[in-house]
Amino acid sequence: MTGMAAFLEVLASSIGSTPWRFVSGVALAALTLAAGAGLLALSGYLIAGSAIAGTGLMAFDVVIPSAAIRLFAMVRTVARYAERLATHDAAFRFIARLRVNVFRSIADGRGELARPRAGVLLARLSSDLDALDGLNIRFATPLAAAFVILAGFAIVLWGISPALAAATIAPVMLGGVLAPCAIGVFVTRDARRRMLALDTARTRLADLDRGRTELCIAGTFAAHAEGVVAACKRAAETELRLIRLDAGLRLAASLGSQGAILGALLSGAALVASHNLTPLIFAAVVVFSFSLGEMVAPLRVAALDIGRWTLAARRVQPLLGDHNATMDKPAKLKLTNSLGGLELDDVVFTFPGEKEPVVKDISLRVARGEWVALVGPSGGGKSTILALAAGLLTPDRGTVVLGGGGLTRPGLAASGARIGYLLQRTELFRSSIADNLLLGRPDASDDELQIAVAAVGLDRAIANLPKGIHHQLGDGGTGLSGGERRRLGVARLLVASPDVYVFDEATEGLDAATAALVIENIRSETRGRAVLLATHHRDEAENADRLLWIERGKLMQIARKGEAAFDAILDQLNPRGCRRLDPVREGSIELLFA
Amino acid sequence: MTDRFGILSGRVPRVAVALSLAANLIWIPQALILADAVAAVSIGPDAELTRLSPIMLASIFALLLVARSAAEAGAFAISARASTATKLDLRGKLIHTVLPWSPLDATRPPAGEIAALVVDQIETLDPFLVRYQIARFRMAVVPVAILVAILPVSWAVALILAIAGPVIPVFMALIGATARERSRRQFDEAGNLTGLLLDRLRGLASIRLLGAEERVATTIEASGERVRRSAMDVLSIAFLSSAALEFFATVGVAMVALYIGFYLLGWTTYGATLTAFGLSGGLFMLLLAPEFFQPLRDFAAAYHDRAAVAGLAERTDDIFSVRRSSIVGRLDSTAYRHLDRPFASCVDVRRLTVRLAGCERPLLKHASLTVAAGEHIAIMGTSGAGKSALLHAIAGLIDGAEGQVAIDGMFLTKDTADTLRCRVAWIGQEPYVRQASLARNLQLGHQPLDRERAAAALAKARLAKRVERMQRRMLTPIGENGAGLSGGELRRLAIARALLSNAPMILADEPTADLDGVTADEVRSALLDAAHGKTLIVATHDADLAGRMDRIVTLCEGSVEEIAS
Repeated sequence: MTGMAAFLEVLASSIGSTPWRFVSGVALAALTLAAGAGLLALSGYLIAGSAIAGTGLMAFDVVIPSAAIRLFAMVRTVARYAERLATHDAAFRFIARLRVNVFRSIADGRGELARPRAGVLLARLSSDLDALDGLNIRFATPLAAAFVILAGFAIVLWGISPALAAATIAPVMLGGVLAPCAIGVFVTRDARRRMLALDTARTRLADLDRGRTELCIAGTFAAHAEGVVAACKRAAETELRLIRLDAGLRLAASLGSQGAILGALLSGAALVASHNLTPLIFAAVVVFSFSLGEMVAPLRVAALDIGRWTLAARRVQPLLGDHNATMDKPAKLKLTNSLGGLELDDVVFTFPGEKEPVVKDISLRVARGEWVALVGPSGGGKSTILALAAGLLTPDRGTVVLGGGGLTRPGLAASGARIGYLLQRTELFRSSIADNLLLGRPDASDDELQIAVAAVGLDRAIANLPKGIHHQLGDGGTGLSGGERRRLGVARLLVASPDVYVFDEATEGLDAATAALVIENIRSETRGRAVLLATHHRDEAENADRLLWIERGKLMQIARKGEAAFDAILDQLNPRGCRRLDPVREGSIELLFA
Repeated sequence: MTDRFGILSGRVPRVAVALSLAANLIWIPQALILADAVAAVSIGPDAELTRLSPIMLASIFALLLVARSAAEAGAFAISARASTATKLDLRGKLIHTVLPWSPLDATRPPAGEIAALVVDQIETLDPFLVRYQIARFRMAVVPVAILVAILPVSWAVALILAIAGPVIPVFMALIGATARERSRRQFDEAGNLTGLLLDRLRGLASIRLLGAEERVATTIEASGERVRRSAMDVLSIAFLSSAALEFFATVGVAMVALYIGFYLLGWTTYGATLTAFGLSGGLFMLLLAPEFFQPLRDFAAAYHDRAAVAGLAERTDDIFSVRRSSIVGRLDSTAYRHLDRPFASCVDVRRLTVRLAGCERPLLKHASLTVAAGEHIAIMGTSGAGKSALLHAIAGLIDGAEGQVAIDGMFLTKDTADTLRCRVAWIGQEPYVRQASLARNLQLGHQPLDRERAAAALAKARLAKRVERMQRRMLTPIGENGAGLSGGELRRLAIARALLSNAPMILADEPTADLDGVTADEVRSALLDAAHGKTLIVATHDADLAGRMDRIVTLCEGSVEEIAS
């Protein structure tokens, strides 16, 4: 879709979302302009009339014009205030709605925006949305009002004399309408370039901070910083070109609006000389023509911004529309007994850009009440299998079945059965601890939260916080240690109480005693449900009913509890040492969705 | 507020101010000509003040019109160019201030916040310089000039304007202070909303798994609604103040028009200065009246530009007034990369104390350590003992408070740090990966990649087979945080980088943390292979890895406690 088409679509959606606010905004803007013009025309009329009456040439009634002048002064002020409030309010509403729609689209995983990095994505998203909030205020409303009013004045002047209308309106049209349209084409390209340069600067600046250590050691830190400065310079250079064009536009607008005064003066003088116009109307028209410049001024601003708008619109347009209809509503939350076991049949999965599959013909079955643990070297495909089982990834071949049906979306089967998945990287949010816990099941009671928190051994730590469970976490859940974050992630899953639990290294970063407590409580809390987990900790694996050894994407060995092979596999796993409580390593699977 | 970057003291060139004033003042003769022309046409040539022929009047008006337009456009172009230069200069300054912050300082503001400040919020300088700074001068000069022009015609009109005019600045001052406070609040709120979105998008996988998209969307919606409300709060005040100003200006003009009308009708004979004025004089004053108020209104409109920039200055101050630990060295690419590096470096740390700026407790306390050339040592100790700080200090990535670090007999100082850092290769826990091909990630510098050496390094780092499996081999793009590469693979990528850089000393910060047995083993072997014949200092909890070193040093609360060989 071209930028202009996308722009028009976004514009239509902006107007369509609050049509009456838009219409009333335009009406108020037009009223403001009309009152301003009327004020000038009447003042000229009043003074000319008084002067002529003062010389005794004619009688002149000042009561009506002077009352009208006061009325117009009031109307203009009030209408302007109301218009500004109405249009700004409509614009903010539109932007808030747009932002939510965009979030929904990304959450749907649709469109090209599903792939890029979260940082770049957000920077672009927020700057695009910011750009579009000017659409109503600075484009649609003033433009519509200007056309309504200009047309109205042209008709009124035409009624007085076609020559007068042409001489007055034509200069304004040339300098204030035609010039912005023509120059707008050039401006669009440069405005887009400038925006892209600033995008680059933003990304490079973020990269510079992430790579602080490595870039500094590689001796290229300064060069990278220069790269950021270079992007800023590129932005500044296009800005200079834009300034030249803007200056040209200002010149044209100024010549046009003052040309209108000159036009009114000359053509009016000719009409007065030929007795086709009374001196009073002549004075009124000349003074009135001052107001024409004000009407077309928004066009200049619009011409300068249209490049940025079209670029933003092109990116945002794919994310428009009614997403409530397309988004699967999560099933009604029911706390029933497990609906069944989890089955993977001949599942194959290849990451984009890779030649070989990371998961090769994996078949496994986890029955209700069963614990199955995936073990084996990291990079062997354990996490990928879990992501496939939870529906976060879709297999190239093979099926994932839960409770007799396939998966319809991440974490949900066709049967309505839910899968709870603890990712390798604990994802918490800026919100209170309670809000984080409630994310999976908003109707959980305070008691249920307390039970879950106690199950992971966090009850005492949370009780010691000044606000307890309503303690606010920072971005990404900062404010907790790695181990605490992990345990909160487990607790959130326990609160959600899904039919099947999938844990990726549930006790990573915990010391032996805490891990033992957490494992024991997970056991009792998940009783009767299917549990699939991946671990390289012995204490976690020895609780399993079955161990599956995964290596290079293949299922190499299965061992049941009690078999000799089971203990042989356990012996290959790490006993939990006094490891540092590290924040959990960033996984790679989740980033596909970031 | 200190405003250390001089944000609020930004000025525009005098030429721009002069041109803008000229454009405004040209209006005075233009109004006179126009009034004369209308009077001549309506009543006859006798009514004129200038006694010029109508053709002459029209030509002069046209000339002045062009001059006025040109002066206006010129004033804009010059001030806008100056603003662009100021923004570029400020951006450069901020980037260079951020540059030396130590990577060890986890309290530094997030990259996103800095990017928003440097790229987006600086744009508020544009209206401040282009509009506000010029509007200030116009407000001081133009109304006075117009009063002076009107006074010879009618002292009464001049008096009306002189009384109505000052009301505007008084109002402005009253309303301006509230608006500023509210504008600052709006700034914070908008930043919160952006942060909220990023926060939720980062954890999108969990949100989808929990089926919480709709609830999160509602949260964002509620947040958007809050932003809208606070913005409308600000704007309703801002608009109210400009409406009040507009009202006073309009009433002022209306009063002038009515007085002139009554005077011309002969209802009052009071108020003319030199001689009685007619249509021409009346129109002249009427046309000047709006222009008397215009600069005051322009300044009122631009007043909020200053508030926005004051907000920017305050925010910048908040971020930059905190003293932060910095990287040692000039960081200006003046390092002598090839100043005969030894094959293996020796390190001497003498009574080194390191503390983060603003922190009482030191990370390292009088730590001393000598590492011979080619020696492999492990640094162990509980977390928080200062292992990472020691490695960062050796690489000059944080400045020491006391004591010295010497590499190959050279003290690590501001002048030598960049050169000495060329002797270091770094293997961290979360190696930096940029959005580029594997090849471009193997060498972070700009020098061309030697394919053969790269292949050899990958083989030694035990990554050759993995690369073999990738669709486009070395040209395969790998993403932020190394999407597609596992934690073990990323560390081996860092090892391959270390091999390629051929640095005489390798510093490794927990290279085997969070890896399972088999993977950790691969990393251990790759690391030892890469460090063959070179100096290796490893901070680790991994007893296995430590056991394969020549010597183990234990840190306890920032001090070197024991040395076991």
